[in-house]
Amino acid sequence: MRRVWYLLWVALLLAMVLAPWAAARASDRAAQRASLVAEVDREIAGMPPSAGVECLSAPVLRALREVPRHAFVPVAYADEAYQDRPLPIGHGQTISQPTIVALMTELLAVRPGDRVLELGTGSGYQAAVLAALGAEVFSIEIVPALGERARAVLDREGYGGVHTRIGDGYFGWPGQEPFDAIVVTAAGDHIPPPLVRQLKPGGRMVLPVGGRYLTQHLVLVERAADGSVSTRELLPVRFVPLTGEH
Amino acid sequence: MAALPERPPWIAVGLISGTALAYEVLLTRLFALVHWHHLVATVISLALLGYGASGTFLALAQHRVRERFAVVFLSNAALFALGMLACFALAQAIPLDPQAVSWEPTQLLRLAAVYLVLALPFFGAANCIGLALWRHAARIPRLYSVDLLGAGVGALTVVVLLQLLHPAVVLPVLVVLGLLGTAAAAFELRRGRAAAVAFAVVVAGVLWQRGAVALHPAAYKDLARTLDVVGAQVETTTSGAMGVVTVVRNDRVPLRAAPGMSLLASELPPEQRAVFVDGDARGALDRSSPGAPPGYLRDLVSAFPYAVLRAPRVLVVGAGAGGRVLQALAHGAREVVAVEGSPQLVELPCRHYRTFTAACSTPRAHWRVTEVRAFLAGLPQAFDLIGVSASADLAGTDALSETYELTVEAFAQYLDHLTPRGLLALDGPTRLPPRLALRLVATARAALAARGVAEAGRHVAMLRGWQQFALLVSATPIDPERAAALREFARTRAFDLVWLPDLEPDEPNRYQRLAEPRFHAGAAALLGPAAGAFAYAFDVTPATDDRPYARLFTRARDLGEALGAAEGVGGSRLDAGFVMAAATLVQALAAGALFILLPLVGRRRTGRAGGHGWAWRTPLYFGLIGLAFLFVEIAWIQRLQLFLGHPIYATAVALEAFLVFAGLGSLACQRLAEAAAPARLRLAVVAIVVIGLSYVFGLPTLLYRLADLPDWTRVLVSIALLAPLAFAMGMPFPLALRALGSEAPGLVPWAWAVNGCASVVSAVAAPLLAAAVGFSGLLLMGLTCYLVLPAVFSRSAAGDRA
Repeated sequence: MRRVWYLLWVALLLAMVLAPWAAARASDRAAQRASLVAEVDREIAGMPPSAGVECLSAPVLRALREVPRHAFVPVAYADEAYQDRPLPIGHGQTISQPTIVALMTELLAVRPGDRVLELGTGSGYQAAVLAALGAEVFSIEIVPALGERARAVLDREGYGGVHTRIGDGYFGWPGQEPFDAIVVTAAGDHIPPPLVRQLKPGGRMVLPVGGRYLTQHLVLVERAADGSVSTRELLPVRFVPLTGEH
Repeated sequence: MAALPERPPWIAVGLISGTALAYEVLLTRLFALVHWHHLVATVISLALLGYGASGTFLALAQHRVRERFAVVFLSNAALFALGMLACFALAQAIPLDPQAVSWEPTQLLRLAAVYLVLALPFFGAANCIGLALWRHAARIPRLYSVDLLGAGVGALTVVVLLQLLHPAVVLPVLVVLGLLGTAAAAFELRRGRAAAVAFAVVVAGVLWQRGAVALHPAAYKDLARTLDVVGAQVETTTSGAMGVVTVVRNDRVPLRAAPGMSLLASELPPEQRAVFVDGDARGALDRSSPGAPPGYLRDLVSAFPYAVLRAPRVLVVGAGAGGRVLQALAHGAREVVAVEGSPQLVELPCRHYRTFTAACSTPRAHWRVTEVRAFLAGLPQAFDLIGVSASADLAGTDALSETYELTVEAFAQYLDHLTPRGLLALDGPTRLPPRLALRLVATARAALAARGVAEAGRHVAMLRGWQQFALLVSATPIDPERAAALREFARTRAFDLVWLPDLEPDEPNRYQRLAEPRFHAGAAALLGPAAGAFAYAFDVTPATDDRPYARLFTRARDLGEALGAAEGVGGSRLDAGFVMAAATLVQALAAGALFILLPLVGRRRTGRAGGHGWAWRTPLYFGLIGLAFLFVEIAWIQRLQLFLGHPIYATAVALEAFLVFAGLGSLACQRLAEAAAPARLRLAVVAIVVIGLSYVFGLPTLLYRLADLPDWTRVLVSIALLAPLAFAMGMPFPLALRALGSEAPGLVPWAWAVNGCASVVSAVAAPLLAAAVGFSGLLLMGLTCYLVLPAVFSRSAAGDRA
């Protein structure tokens, strides 16, 4: 009995010491996050028209400020989570650069209550941002270790409503279609036609094209009300002037 | 202690030299397997600075090592033998993600650690050879010839070993060869014979027990990532000199490769197997039967030419796993000739997966293991379609890879082998802003102009789809009927036309919209009357056989400008391969300068003046030889690649011939009196320059005329052409080093250091220089370096006399 009391006292003392430290740490993280979001906002506002986005909307800014990116990256990279850069998350995969996540989220034009399909859960961060916008998110991952880790982090951070699954995403999530938006976190060598068919008329799909650390451009697929599909290739990079000697 | 024999350790030098070269070649294979293959050249070039460091070490340690020759030689031989295994294991343990360098500065430190670790075995081997040359200065020509001949045998041995064994098994074999070298040294130097033999036997026994070295491919490799996917499993692995081929199946998350497939495709890819070479994705095998090729192949961007061809005779260039062969069959081709350089890739559809895919089992398909240029050179037949797939990396990491199938001369050869209404079709990945697509348009225009076509625009059609473009070039103008069929193909698949002779203004940017129709604007400018005035931020001038860098779009002058400019998210106008090569050169120059200058500091501190006329001419002479030898050798190897039809075999033959005949050239100097050395040097240089110049101006034509000879005859012709040049090139180094050994022996290690560093700098600089001035320019630079040598040598002699 005495031992239990002793342990309780130790726990209490530890809690008294650590609680302010944790609060200060959390407050630091929030400040870093706010600073990052401001930087991302400026970055996007300065992008050329070919990026397809003029500026970030208030809901997207709010979602980015809310979701703790540091909780979704490996512990070793937590201190770098609020830099505008991609980070490795293991298995040769990365968590995208915050500017790219912001840009893709804005392009999806998600409204509260929308059903959104994500292909490639990865760290779970993009799914959390979409959930923070009030969307019902369905996310599929093909690497079991990543999918399981993302599930645990989403639950821990209060995004338990995100539906996750490990398996093939080529045919979308049969039974849950149609979706208002689809986000593919790494584009393959073609857009799966069955996936486009899971998009509602008026729906949007976004795919990044490029390497693990380097997004070359984004592709926005739009399904018109009449069912016809068109795509736009969006270049967030300023290459001007495209002139010089031949 | 017994006196050391006066006889140099010939066998040990030959064995160590040969094993070191074999290890260098093997490292390129091992590193390609475990890391990003574009990093291989950088890492190995810098590791070879171990040769430069060795000269510096010997120069600084001077008599402390020379007096303990046997001990130092033996310990360095052991360091080399065991270091090959230990250092590779250590380098593998360093967590390296080269693609993260721009984001994570610690990656640079890790990269530097990898260089240093891998340099250690080369340092040991170079110490042995440098020390032997220094101690036996009077026998330098013969020793140097043993060094070169050993290296020649090593080059051949490793190619044979890699053909027979997996690279992970070859490493222990080389360690045993290194230990044999150590044991041979113990016998030749009469020191610790029993210990050396016991040590070699024990280590060899342990290696025999353990077998292959464990390889740990980086997590970012395509193969590693594919195997992380639920349900993925390796089905087949084969190994050869061209690489390790792995085939993966996945029944839970089926593999689906369909580059550029239309969103409107009615059929999806069938069951597939993913193919990897050295862990990098190289296409897929489609389940198919001879009578029913997969239908999705009709909805790819690469199906563009079939819109206007009926039952064509098709040549598929770089057939790989056979996807394009199936595509031709799916469009009713009456005959398909598939050309592929890698025998292991050909074995997949033709042997291991013969019942899985119809790409080889159908009687209409004929496969050839060769490179297309050599294949076409001796071929009288014509094709209705020649299809070339132009792969390119989005980040431009492959910018300095030679692509002889995409040069103006290659286009001309393709057009020569087309039927009157035949088509040359090229497809590749789009990259924004457009680069490769526009370069190929410019190349088509140049090839058509060479045939007297004034209006190239009438002979070209182009479209783009999902991340892919397809370009058609016709020897005859595209008539309205064909244009209509091509237009219909694009419309029914929602692909955007980029160019047609009668293209309407609203057609180019209809389905996959860009903010500006950049592909069309570029193609229109390049095919228009004012193409010469076309201004563009990237270099899209046509590649040629002399400057075969079709994937290099960065100009040297862009480097500083672009590095200083903020370009926004995720973008760079620089090709990563070019940046990496430039960064490697800077590092090699900095390390080389350090290794060359350090002995000077040491000499000043110890008060030993260099003396003689050699003091400042040593770096000049041996630096020039280091640069010149490799410039000439590299330019030659490039010329032979086309002639022999295979990069690996061409490199092996050229390297072998160069080393052997240069070794014989060195041997021919042994009996020469020292007084006759300047005259012999002048003669050698005159021979090098005359033969070299004749090769610059006459060789391409000669090789083109001989291109239809049988394989073995072409190998003999190559050796016969190389022999006199290499024989003469083997002389300048030993002639001067022997003179240095007798007149200023203390400078021999410094000369060794300078030569080692210059060789690394020249190997790294060669592709950058060739990209700027072509291989002819590179050869001329090498010859110019040789021309200066007699003047430096005779002045040294004059200085000595003074």
